Amino acid sequence: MARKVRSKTAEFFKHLFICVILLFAFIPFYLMLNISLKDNEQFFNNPWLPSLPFHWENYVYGWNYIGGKIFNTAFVAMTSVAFTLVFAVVGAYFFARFKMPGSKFLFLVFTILMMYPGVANMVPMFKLISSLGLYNSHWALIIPAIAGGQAFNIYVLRNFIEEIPQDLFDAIEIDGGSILQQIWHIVVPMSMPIIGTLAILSIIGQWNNFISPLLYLRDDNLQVISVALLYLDGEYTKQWGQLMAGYTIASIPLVVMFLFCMKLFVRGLSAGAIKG
Amino acid sequence: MAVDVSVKKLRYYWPVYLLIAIPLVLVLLFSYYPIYNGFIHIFYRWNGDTVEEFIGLGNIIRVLNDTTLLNSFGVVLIFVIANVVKMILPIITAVILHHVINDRAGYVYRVLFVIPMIIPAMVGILIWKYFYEPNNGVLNGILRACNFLSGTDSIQWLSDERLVLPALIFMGFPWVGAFGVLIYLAGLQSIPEDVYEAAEVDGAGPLTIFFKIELPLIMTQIRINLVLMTIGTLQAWENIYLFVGINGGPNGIATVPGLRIFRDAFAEGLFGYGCAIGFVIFLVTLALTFVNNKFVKVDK
Repeated sequence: MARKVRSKTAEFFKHLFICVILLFAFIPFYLMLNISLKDNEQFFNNPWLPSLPFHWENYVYGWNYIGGKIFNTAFVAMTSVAFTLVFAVVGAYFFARFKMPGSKFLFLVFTILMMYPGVANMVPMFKLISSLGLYNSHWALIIPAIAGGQAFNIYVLRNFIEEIPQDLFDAIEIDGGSILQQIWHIVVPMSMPIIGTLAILSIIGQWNNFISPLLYLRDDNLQVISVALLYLDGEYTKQWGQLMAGYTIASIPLVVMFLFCMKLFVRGLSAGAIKG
Repeated sequence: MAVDVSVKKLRYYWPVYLLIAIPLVLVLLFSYYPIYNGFIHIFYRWNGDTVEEFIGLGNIIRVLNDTTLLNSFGVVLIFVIANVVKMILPIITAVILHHVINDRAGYVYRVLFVIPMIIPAMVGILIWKYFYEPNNGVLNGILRACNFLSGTDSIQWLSDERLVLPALIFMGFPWVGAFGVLIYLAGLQSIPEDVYEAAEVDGAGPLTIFFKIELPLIMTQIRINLVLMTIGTLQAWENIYLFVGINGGPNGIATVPGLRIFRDAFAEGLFGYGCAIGFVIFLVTLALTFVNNKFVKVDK
């Protein structure tokens, strides 16, 4: 990577450019934290800079609003992502390592689903969920998410698994390793960065999703964070401080997860994980 | 190197299909069955519940004569084109990031790019809504401070027919997300060092290197981002719904086809018609993906 230094000025402008872009990227983050400590009057007078006194009680309010929903959200996100990836890794292995009769057709069966708009499916899906008796249960969110995640995840993982060197598979086959052993001992460890990346992308997607919980969950004690915050947003006089405190609390689990998987994630996206 | 299994060898290899069995069952039941159900209902007047009446090609004829629907495809096409333009800055950012000499700084920048991804998407929408607010908003505040706007005037960014589309397009400036940048960066990092050395021996400047080497060699990554962006834009409607409401802003000017389905189905009870529009979106997506794969050249 170390190419010859052209000039100090050129280097300075590169850093300047990136820092300006990063500055813009961090504005929502900064404003969320900043506004979360204000009341409405402070917010309208001075949204950009911190102003005293800090309204820590916003966080108490926000916590009372969504605290009980964090477990629901985490359960739905974790369960659906775990199952999605287990099935997608095995499925992608099938497409990457075997040319079976009908493989091409089957691959099309999965990938073409990416082109079908989910919004057109909402009512038939709702009918299906109701008739299976899943309405008003977390499985109404989890199972369709697992099914819906297969297309994109299999598509990405197949490209990745195809490039794992053949020698590794040969070695384990000579030792009499079964297909499942190949997946567990070669595919999973070799694709860890991309599996981690896909996991984080799906968890972020689940965390932001508000349409299906709005549609499928009736009981308030089952509800997830995104919907609760939507209700808070829709209150008659919007309290910006409380709302942003709520969103800050909502992002804490993601921040924690990210701290643990940061290396995996940056490596996964940078390792050419996603390609055409 | 995949194992090639001919039809003859299937006697021994058939259990391999079991690997794909669970995903296939899931997809057939939870994706294809609803799609099939929707397709059948194209031929029905259906309110999603009790009213269900066969009307033959009624919905299809209606789709073909629906000028506001045609307009909504025009709007989404504008968004697709805008999003293609918005891909330029992330590409430039990735190239510059790639050329940062200090490896440590390069890594820190990459981590910093990823962090904003974990902020809830709604926060961005709320802040941009506040940015465009006519009375207390940031944008009009800036215009007033620069004397472009008198203290008592206000520009209705999201309720003026002429301004709502530009406002929606500008939203998210500078449109540089970690996902795109890191994927381009991955492509750039796989360019062999000797290619750069050869170019430098030939006395190629940074611009020549960018246009003759880097851009052609990350075409794979550009194309995948282009395909994913096109699919995403054609299907997107939640952001516009959250931003300007179910009616798609003043006179429905910002209505995209996805929002139209949502409105027709849930506000008007025209589910059969919504399903028909869904298939039109599907066909348009299919066509544009085909165009992307056919005409965006990738040197392998």
